[in-house]
Amino acid sequence: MLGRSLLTRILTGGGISLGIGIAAAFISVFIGTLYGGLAGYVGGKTDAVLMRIVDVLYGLPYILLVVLLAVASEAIVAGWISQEGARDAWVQSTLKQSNMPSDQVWLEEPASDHPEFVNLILARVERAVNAPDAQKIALAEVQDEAAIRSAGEVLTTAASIARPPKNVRESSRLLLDVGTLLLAIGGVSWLTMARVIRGQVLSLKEQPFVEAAQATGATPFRIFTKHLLPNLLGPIIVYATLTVPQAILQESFLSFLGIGVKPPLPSWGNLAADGLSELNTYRSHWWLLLFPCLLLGVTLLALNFVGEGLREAFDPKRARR
Amino acid sequence: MTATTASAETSPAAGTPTATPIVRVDRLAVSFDNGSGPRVQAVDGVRMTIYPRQTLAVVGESGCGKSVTAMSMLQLIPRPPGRFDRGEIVFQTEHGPVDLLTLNAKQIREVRGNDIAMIFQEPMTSLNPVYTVGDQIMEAILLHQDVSKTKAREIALKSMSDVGIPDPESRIKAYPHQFSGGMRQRVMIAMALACQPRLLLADEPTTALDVTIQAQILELMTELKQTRGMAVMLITHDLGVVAENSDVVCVMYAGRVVEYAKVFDLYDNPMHPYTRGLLASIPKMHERLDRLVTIREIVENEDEFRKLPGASDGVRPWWPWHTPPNDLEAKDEPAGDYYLQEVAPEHWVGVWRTHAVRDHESRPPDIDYRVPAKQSPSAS
Repeated sequence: MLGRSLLTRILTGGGISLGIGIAAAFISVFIGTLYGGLAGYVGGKTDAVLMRIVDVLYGLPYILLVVLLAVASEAIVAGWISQEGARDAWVQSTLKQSNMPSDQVWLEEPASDHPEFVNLILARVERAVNAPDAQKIALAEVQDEAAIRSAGEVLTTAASIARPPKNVRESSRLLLDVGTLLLAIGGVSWLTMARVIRGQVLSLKEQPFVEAAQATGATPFRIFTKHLLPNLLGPIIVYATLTVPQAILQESFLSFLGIGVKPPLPSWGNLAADGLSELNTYRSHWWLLLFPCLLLGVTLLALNFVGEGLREAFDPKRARR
Repeated sequence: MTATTASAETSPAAGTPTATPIVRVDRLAVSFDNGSGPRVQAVDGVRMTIYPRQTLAVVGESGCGKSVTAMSMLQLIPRPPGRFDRGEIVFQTEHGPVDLLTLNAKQIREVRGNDIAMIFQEPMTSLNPVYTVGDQIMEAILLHQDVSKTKAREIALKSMSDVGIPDPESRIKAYPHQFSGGMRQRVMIAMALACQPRLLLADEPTTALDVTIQAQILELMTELKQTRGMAVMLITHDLGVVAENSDVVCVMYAGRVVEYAKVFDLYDNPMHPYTRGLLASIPKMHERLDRLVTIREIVENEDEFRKLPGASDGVRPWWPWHTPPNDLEAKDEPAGDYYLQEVAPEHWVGVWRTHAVRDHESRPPDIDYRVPAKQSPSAS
């Protein structure tokens, strides 16, 4: 174990966990309200198709879906940073422009045998790289290579100069990681929200005031945003507060498995995972496991109480005690 | 659109309408998809005309097509399952006549609330609970008039005081739940009138209100009709309301017009057995009866159907539960087996399209008549 302060790390981790929880809840509210609102308001076949999609997603194991989404979005980010796809595309378009035989045997031949091809590459690199200094260096590099290497190798070098990997700073890399995590959690937890909102919209749109608004000549968009959404605010707030603890739990779970927040960034999940590995019969650092878990539990309980309280406050049918 | 100084005390000579009707419904047919079964024909071959400053009362039992006819004028019928089969609704706009059924979504929104306004039955739920009544009246104004918010507020205040809401300055900031039923219906009327519509569709505006408030609201509507030169289509099943507040009455049954006449003609001389049944079933004061007469007792009596003028020539009142007469000559059009025949001057009755009717096809229902105004102190 590194000699890090557990208190500091738990508090920082708490901030990260809560932040992710709240942001994920916002995402899920946004998607859920739009999706459920659309399904309920348009109705008919659209409603049937949209809600069957929700049913199918509901049927899939929840956690599996989160893990899949987290892994997939991570891979997409990694691909975007390394620019592999863009490099391949650059190579292909260069080959296409070159009017060389398509069997590509000539790529094995020395580059100096194909001066036209080298010139084309140089021109394209020149266009792709902007800064004048970098350009000169890049051109020199390609020309040096052309003297000794095969045409294929020159092309690869040129591609890596024209489409270099993205230079992402450590902090933005972290931000991207957290962003994909948010997307994964938010992208799964909107299902309940969509169902609740759809049900509410279905009953609200039959209200006479909606018909009255139609009769005054309001557009469907206006009716949805001005007449339905404000009436939906109660359930939206309640379910948003209940989604926050859920999202925190998922984040901790993913981090515990090592998919979510990566160390050195702390989160209750990866702190608990660290703590677990410190449990052994020889000498137990039990507090490393206990405190992250304790805080997680207490926070979830507190947030659930808030949600329940709000639900009760917004429910007109429940009598005040 | 202010009314001319000439009031409507005198109706023009029978059969020669001078003014243009504000709206003319011609052979309207609307049907609804019934899922598994055949389509439900909600309205079939309905014809009616409404003139400025005239109140046309549409009476009939639940499901006879009164509301569907009114909703069709604003294309408020959900489609699907609804569908306009045939017919036209010609509305006289400031720029000339248009068929309301052929307008696209954008054009009909221009008409809704602006040229034609609608009041609904349920004042308790027809207002959005999350907005103040002022916001809602102003919404209607801002949708159709190019005015600033402050100007819209002024118009809203004016229209609230027009409908008799006391202290509009403070009430404009109140929410619907702070109003009573009658006051809410006044708000609905204020909303409907804010854009100076030329036709007001009142779909059972007083059904949810108690009798005193009902009288107040109807009086208000009559008064506003006079001062603004507006036409009113009053949908109701209360024949008392009809007698008091309308000029022309249109009785509907099973999606068709069965009788169409001036209000007093209809009450003095009902010609269709169904109308007679309706009127006979009203309990009368000072008349002791063990049980009331039912509509069924009248319409199941075959003799009632022979009382129509021209019955000897083969003119028979249309009735959906009868088998059509043998000399029926149905046409291929909405309600082709039926015809709205002018059996007496300015008195139309729905009859079977028999041989006798074919020879004497009459003009469509069209009565430019207003009940002479009562001698009462004018409010404006």
